[in-house]
Amino acid sequence: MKDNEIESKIINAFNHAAPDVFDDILTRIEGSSAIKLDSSDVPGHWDKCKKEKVNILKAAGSAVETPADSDETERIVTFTSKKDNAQTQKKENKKRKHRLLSTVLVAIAAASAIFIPLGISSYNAQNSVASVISIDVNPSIEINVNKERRVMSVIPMNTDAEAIVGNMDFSGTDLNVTINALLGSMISKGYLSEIANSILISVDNADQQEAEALQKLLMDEIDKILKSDTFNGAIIGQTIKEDEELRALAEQYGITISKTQLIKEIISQNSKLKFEDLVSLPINDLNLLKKNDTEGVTSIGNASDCSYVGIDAATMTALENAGFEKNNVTGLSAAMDYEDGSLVYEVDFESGGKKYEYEIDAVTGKILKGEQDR
Amino acid sequence: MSDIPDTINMADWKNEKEHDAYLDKCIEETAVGNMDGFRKLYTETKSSVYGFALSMLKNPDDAEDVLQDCFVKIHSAAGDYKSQGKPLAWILTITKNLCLQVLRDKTKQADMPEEDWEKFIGVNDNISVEDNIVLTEMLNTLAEDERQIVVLHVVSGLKHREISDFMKIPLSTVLSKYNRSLKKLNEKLTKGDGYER
Repeated sequence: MKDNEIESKIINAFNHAAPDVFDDILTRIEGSSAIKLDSSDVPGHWDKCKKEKVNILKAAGSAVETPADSDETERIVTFTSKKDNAQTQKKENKKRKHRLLSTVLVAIAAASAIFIPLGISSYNAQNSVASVISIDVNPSIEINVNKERRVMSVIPMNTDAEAIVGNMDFSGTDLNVTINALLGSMISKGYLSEIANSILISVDNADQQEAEALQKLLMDEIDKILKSDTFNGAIIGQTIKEDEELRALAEQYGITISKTQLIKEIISQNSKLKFEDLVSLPINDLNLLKKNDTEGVTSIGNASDCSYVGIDAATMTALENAGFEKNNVTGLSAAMDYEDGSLVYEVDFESGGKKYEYEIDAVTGKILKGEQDR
Repeated sequence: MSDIPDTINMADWKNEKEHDAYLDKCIEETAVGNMDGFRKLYTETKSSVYGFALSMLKNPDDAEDVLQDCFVKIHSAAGDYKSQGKPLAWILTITKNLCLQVLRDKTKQADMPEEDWEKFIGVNDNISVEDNIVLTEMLNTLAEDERQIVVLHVVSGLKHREISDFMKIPLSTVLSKYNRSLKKLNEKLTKGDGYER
């Protein structure tokens, strides 16, 4: 075949494949004359428009409160609702293509799933708490869901969380929508950011399999949400194995059971750490202290060390102080640790038969301790 | 609008400048609310928009969504359009941004599972068996950038130099990728994997 023969085949294929949606477009334009799209959507303005946030806030819709002090958030939320209208319109256009019967069936199915309990057993399933999901960032929030993974209630566990939940009523809402709204709110209020990107998800369900499945589902969903924002998230997931001791500790220190369990797991890996020291640390710092192979805990992404000097810089400082290059020492290890009320990097290495041990202040990068043993 | 003729195929336009002027005129008419101009713009560029979206997204449903979104956007932004003699590049940039948004929303690769490709069949009554083979081979055989280059040149009628500007890759790369792609397609379509021409 000659090139121009192939080319004409390609032209034909695409001309035939391009669907005729002009009527749909016209309907959308007529419907949206009141919601004319922003000029910020056209090339040139694209980068300025914080598109990423739209996804997160989309689910929250009008439920997300607009903080009066933030113009930017206001703009994003307004934009979101416009986009939502357009999306709805588009869906409606598409729907017209389907036969009326299927539309009606779908509507009935949707209505019964949400509003009409089908029988006694299903009524019970919908009205008893099957799983308790905790989200810890610094705001700590508990979400009670039923067997069908619909949200029954959202309970703020501390004052930060009250600001996040606000007046939003989630009862009967889809779990993903709820998570999206809560995360959107946490990001817009600055609790989740490049500096503190860690989030702890814990699931408590008598059925361990369901707990693990739900935990995985939530971690994936949150990972997806955070990836579409401007920073990468670090998500820690665990299932709760509740016992008396755990509950007593949580009550004593006024923290959630999920945070209590995480701290206990971290301590079991590093016996120098004390429970009472770690209680006040935000999840991001706990994530930095956590070893990769901590039992019963799964992790996605890396905790942000933006507010600290960083493990590489700390290692360099120690090596420079001892007068070595990276490649003429052996057994080099560096890890986050907690000493005397602050986070430190512990850097260990060996050279010329001597062992070196350094502690570097995580905030200032200063050497707190430098020892050598024969 | 009577001075704007109805045309269907890119191939009918021998003179590129004339074609750009036609598109410019259509956008101008769209901006002042002339729906006939808008319809002509749609007819003239829908294959480019859909083709480019499909080459980026590899999914007929998503490409159709982008096609709709793109023209809704063009309609609302036509008033802000400043002609720089490159109306198609403007339209394709909107298309590209919408596709990137779709990909970001999905936060997954453009690749879709193998079985989804078959959804192509029956998407549209106009698609012949041969069209289907061509489209499937383009999706299966060519890499994403190769596919985009072929669509931009063949369907949208952009010159290789313009593709180089648009995709921000060197002209020599555009040329070699284009030639290699056509060769690959030729092999597949003539010998084919059991396909008879």
